[in-house]
Amino acid sequence: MTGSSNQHYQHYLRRFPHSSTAVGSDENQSLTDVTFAVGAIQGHSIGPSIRPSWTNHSQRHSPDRSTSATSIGESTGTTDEFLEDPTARVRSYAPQSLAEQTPVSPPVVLASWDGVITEVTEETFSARVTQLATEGPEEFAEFPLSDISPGDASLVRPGGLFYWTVGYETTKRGRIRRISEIRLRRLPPKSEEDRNRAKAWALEALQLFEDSGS
Amino acid sequence: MTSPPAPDIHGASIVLLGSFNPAIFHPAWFHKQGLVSDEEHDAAAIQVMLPDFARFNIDWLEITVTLDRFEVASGEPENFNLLRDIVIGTFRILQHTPIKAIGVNRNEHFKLPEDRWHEIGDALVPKDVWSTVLDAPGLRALTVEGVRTDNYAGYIRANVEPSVRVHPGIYIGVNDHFQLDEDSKDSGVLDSSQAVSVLESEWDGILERAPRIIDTVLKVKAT
Amino acid sequence: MKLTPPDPDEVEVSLFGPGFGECVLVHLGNQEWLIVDSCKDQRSTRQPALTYLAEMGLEASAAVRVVLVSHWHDDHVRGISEVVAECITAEFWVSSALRSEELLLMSGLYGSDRASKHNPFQEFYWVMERLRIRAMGRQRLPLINLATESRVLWHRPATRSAPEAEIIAFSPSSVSDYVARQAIANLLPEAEESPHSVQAPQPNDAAVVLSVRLGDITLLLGSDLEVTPDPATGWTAIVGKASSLTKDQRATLFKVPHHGSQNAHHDAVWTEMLVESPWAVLTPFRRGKTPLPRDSDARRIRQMTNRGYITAATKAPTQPRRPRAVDLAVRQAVRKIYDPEGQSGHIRVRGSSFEVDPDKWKVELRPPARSL
Repeated sequence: MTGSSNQHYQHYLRRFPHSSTAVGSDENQSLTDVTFAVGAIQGHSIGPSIRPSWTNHSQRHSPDRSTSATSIGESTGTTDEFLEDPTARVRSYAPQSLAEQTPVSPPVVLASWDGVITEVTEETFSARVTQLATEGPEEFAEFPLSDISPGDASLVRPGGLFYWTVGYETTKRGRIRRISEIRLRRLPPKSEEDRNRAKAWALEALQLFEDSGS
Repeated sequence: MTSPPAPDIHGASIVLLGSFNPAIFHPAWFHKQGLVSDEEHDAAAIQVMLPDFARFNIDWLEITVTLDRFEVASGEPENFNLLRDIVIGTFRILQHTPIKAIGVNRNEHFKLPEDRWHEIGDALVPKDVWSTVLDAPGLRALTVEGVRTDNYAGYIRANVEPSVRVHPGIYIGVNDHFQLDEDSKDSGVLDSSQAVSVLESEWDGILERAPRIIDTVLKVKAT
Repeated sequence: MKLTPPDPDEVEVSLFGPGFGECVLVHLGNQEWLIVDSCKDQRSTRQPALTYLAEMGLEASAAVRVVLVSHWHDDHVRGISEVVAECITAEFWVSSALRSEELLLMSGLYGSDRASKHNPFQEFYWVMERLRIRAMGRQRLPLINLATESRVLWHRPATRSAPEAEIIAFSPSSVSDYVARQAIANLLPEAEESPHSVQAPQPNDAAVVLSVRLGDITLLLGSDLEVTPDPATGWTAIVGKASSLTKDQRATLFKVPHHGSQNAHHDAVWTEMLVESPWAVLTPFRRGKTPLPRDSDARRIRQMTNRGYITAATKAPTQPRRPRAVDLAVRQAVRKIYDPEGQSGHIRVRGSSFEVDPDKWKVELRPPARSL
C-alpha cells in the first residue's frame, strides 16, 4: 500500500467501528462528500476545533472551547471566525471560487414507485405502478418513451422493472423545477444454483398434491 | 401533508458487515454482472484498489469495501432505490457471502435561521439541567436509539449535531440497523440471503422511517 | 348490512369484488363455510371474506371447511396465501390443471422474489410454502386436493340443525385439464425472459365450476369458465350433461362467469341449469381495453333475470388522493394514471335452504355493490 493510500485506508478504518453500520460516527460528514474525502487524504484534521456548538443563548458568540485547534489553511479554525464568516470553512476545505462552491441543494424526493412495464408502443409505455413507503393501491400509468435515458432503452420491454421518482430541485439560479425520473432496474438473472434449488422445491411441493390418477 | 424539507446536503448509504473480498470489486465487475449501465461504467473512477481496501465511484454511486465492511453510498436522493438494487444484485450473485448486519443510513444537513437552530438544540437537550454544573452548555452531539418493532434484531439510531457543513445548520443522521447473525447462531448458516431479504421485504418501512424521524427533529419546539 | 351470522339452516352467498378480482364466500349451513378464490380490497388492503367473517365474530380458522382456487388468474388469487394461512382446518382444493410441474418450477424460481411488488408467482409460491411447512411432521398427506369433473369435494350429512350439504365440481373435463396444462407449460420460456409479465393463459380451460347443494337448494358458481370451440371443454361440456337435471336440481343462484362476458355465456346454462329468474351475481373487470361487463352483457343478463347484481361499477372508481405536491408532479409526468380496482363491494344473498323460490331470499349490498 502506498503512503497516501495507506493514510486514506487508516483514516477510513478509524472512522468506522467494526460493529457499526452507521456512517460518520465521529463527525457529521457524509461519506459521499468527495470534497471532504479529498481533504482527509491530504491530512487536514477535521476536528472539533471548527465545529460550532449550540451554546446557551447568552453566550452564543463565546470563543471556541476545543483543545485541539488546528490550522487548516486560511482560517485559524476558531468558532468566532466560523460564525462570522461561514465561507471561511468552505474555503479552507476546498479552495475554490465561491460561485463553484455554492451548493445546489439536492433534489427533494416527494414519492417513488415500483413499476413493471406491461406494454410498449412507438411513443409510450404502459405500466403497473405501486407506490413505495406506503400501502397504496396498484395503479396503471402511461409514460412517454422520451423519459427513458438512452442507457436504459434496451431494458424497456414488457416485464421490465423500474423505479419512478417525482420531486423537485432547486437550480443554481434558485429556481424550483419539478422532476420526474424513470430508472430501469438491473437485477441479475437466476443462477444455476437458484434453478437447482427451485427444482428441489418444486419436487417437494409436488408431494403435497394428491395423485390425480389421470 | 406538506412537502418534506429540502436538505442542503444529502447522503444515503447501505452498509453491510461481514466477510468480503475487496479484490473482486471493481467497476468492471459491476458492469459485467449487468448491475450498472454502459454509461454509468464509462463514468467510473477508481480511488483506491488494494487487496484489502477498494474504493471507487460508478457515476452516482460510491462503493467502499474492506475485509469486513461493504458500503454503497450516494449523494443523490433520487437514486436511493437504486442503492437497494445494487446491494440486492451484488449479493444475489455472491450468495455465499456471510453478512452479519445491514444498516441503511440517511444523513442530511439543513441550513436554518440561527434562532431556529438554537431552538432545536434547546428543545432536544434542555439547558436548565446542565446550567447548574456547566458554564454555557451546548449540544455537541445527541444519539437516541430505539428498538426494532419488526421481527429483526437491531436498532434504529438517530444522531443530531450542529452541522459542520452548513452554518447555522443541523446534521441529522438515521441508522436503520438490522442484526442478522442472531438467528444463524442456532442454524449455523450465515450467508447473504438474510441481508437480501431485508432489502427486498422491508424496503417500504426503511424508506418511510428516516424521513419521518428527520421531519420530527426539524419540527421540534422548545417548551 | 347486519353483521350477524346466518342461521344454521340458512344459505348465504357473499360475493366480493373490487374492479379487479373476486372472492365467493358460501355458508354451507351449521356455520361451515366455503371460500372460492380470493381478491384484495385495494383501499383497505384486506382480504374481504376474512374481514367479513371476523366482523360476524367467526373464526376463519375453525369455520372455513373448504378453500378452492378455481384457476390461476391474477384476479382470482390475490390474497389466497393469506386465506390459506388463516383457514388452517380447511381442506384446500385447486383445479387439477394446477398440478403442473412447470408452474411449480416457475413459482419456486420466481415466487419468493420480493424485490418487486409485481410478482405473478408470489401468491402461488406462498400457498405452497405454507402448506409445505404445515406438512412437516404431519402424517396426513396430501394437503392439496384436485378438483376435476364430477368430483365430490365435500359432503356433510344432515344434522339436527343443518341440512345435508355437498359440493361437486362440474369441471375441468379431462380434455380441458390437458389443454390447460399444456398452456401453462408453454409459459416457461416466457417466464425465463420476463417473469414479471407472465400472465395465466387464455381462454380459461381449467376453471372449476362448482355446484353447491344445501338442503333443497342449489348454487352454481361459474368461476371464469368460457364457452370454447371444443365441445369437450368449457361450458359446452358441462351443459351436455345438464339436460338430465330435474327442476329441483336447478340452481337458485348463479355466480355469472367471467364478469358477464359474451364468450362465457351459454343459453343452455340459463334454460337447463337455473331456475327462472335466478339470483345472478357477478364482479366487474376494469383492466384491459374493454371493461366487463359491457352494456350489452348487462342487458343480456337483465333479460334473463331481474335479480342481477354486481359488486362494483365498470367505470373507474374514485381515484386515490395524493398530497397536492405529489399530485401535481405526477400529472406533469404521465399521460395518464389511474387505479382500476378501488374498494371491494359486497353482495350478500341469504335464504332458507328449504326455499327454492328466489323470491323468498333476500339481498343486501355494501357499496359500491349495486343492482345490475
